[in-house]
Amino acid sequence: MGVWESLALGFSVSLTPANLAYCFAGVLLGTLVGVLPGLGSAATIALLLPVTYKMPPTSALIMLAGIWYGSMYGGSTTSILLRVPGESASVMTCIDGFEMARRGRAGAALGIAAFGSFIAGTLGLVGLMLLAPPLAEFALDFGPPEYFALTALGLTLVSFLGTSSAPKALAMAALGLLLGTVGLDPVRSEARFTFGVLSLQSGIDLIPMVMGLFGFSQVLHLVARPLVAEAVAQAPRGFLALLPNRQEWRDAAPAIGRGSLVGFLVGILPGAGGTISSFVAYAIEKRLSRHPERFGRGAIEGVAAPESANNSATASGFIPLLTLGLPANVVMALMLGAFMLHGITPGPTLLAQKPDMFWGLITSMFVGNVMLLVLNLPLIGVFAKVTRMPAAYLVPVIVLACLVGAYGVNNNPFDILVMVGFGVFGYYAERTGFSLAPLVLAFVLGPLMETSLRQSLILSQGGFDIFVTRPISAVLLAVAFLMLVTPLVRRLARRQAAGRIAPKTGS
Amino acid sequence: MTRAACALLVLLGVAAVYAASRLAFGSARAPETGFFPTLIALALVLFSGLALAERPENPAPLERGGGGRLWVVTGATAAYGVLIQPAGFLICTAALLLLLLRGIGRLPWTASVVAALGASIATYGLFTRLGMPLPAGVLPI
Repeated sequence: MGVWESLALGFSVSLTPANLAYCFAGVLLGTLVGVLPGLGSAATIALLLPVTYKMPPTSALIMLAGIWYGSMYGGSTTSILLRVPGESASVMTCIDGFEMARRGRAGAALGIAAFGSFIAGTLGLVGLMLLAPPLAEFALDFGPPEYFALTALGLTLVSFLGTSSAPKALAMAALGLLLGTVGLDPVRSEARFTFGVLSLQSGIDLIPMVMGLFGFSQVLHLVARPLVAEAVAQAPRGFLALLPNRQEWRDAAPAIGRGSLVGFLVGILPGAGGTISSFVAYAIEKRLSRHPERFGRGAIEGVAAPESANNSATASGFIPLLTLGLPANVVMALMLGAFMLHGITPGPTLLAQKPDMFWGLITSMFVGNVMLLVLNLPLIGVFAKVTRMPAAYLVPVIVLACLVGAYGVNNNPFDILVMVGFGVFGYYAERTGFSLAPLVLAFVLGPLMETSLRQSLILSQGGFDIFVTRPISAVLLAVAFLMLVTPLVRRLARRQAAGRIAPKTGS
Repeated sequence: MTRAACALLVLLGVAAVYAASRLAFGSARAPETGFFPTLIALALVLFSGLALAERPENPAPLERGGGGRLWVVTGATAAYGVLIQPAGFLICTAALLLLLLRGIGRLPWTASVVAALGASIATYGLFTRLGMPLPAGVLPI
């Protein structure tokens, strides 16, 4: 099928009245979630997974995807007006966005964030559309050794990108893999680590776990240290106030282009996603600028680049999931959960077996981006008011959603206890500097990693050479190995250099 | 606090190695049920040990009374999990929401009671209509 036929098929799915409504519900909810500090897109998607049971699979995916990219749009509003990032991917927008707002250019900052997000989101989707089909075809040749190498590389990347401590991230990845082994052995169906608890026979369910880690833990953060969101910048009034002037457009346009490209490339990497891409895009823009001293003092490029990057990364984050069946980040892990709830395994065969779903989902994102632009520009004043919702109301809403969501998975109260346990764990893990992303990704990838490792070893009759004699797995494992070894070598070299300097200065 | 968390993970890893050692390990030629968990548990011990050796970051101090509120919410939500089946969704949810709105959020009594009851009944009605069987418990509904 050619590109145009594929697009036509996709739009015939995404433009049905029902799917348009689901798309709108997703992007609206995503924007609200992005605006509200304390409730992230991962938690919201986790909360809504049980609700999607009875929905048609494509509609469910369209709505859940809408929540994700919608939250990226919404996150910029609080960053610019309150200097409180609604999403971690909007942290960099706080710096120059808030400075612009303080100088009376809140409208231009919000406007360029919305336009930049729209342009980057659309460019990212074009990239996704062009890259996904050939990659899916290439992945058809993957066997167990390639899948093992791919999961190993994914976990290594997750542990090294976006975390301050590699040992802590790797420990969390190991814990995630271990939690993934609870329940029946995927090959022999023997019970492992169930300790006689019947509810653990089928393993720990992803939904209560993620609700606890991302939803209930936020409740604990809110009650332990109440979040006081104070409006410090005036929201712009009227549509015209959102339009950047000619000079601002001239400054922002190249930053949008570069941010889109950087976001797209970084977004494909497992674990990187919107947050890292916005950091990288901001750093690149500052380095390339003729006036780097303007950054931090209200440079519009400092808003355009990270906002474009995080939206472009949202689109490219779908590539590993749709083509290889591997989630690149926590939200994609939840999307994988959504696919599986409906009995669909995303991966290389998805495009051939369910082209309507594949292209329907992709084209819905084009539609959703247009909706977001139309929604965000006139309603920014309303969203700015939502940011002032006090924690006293927010906490019961999140708790109720977590309870219903966790219970609704299996109608089992045990899942509520699992959710509470993971909530407490997530709260303390974050307070002590442990990142939760490696844990969740490892938990999701664990069964695939174990099965492919055991199958590979059976195929090779116990020889580990199967992983290095096959070119794709050899390259993937070499990259993972380099990622693991490089920081150690660097640290040793730094220590040696410090040792050489110390005696000289001492004498 | 960070050191304690790392030490706890090391202990968890050691316990997992022990628990995994009771499963059949097999061999590289024919890996059994305990093969993967043993390797992973050993990795957990190794990486959390390395994290323990790092210089710890001190977490920001909690607001006065924050720790108490945290455990009240945790305990109440866990109790909800235990009581939802025998007492029913409506009673448990209304009680928990009342605690959160009045006890934690310090909203006025009337507003808290109305919001807790209203949200519980609305949620029950919505989700049972969507086909999710929520326990009725002691109430004849």
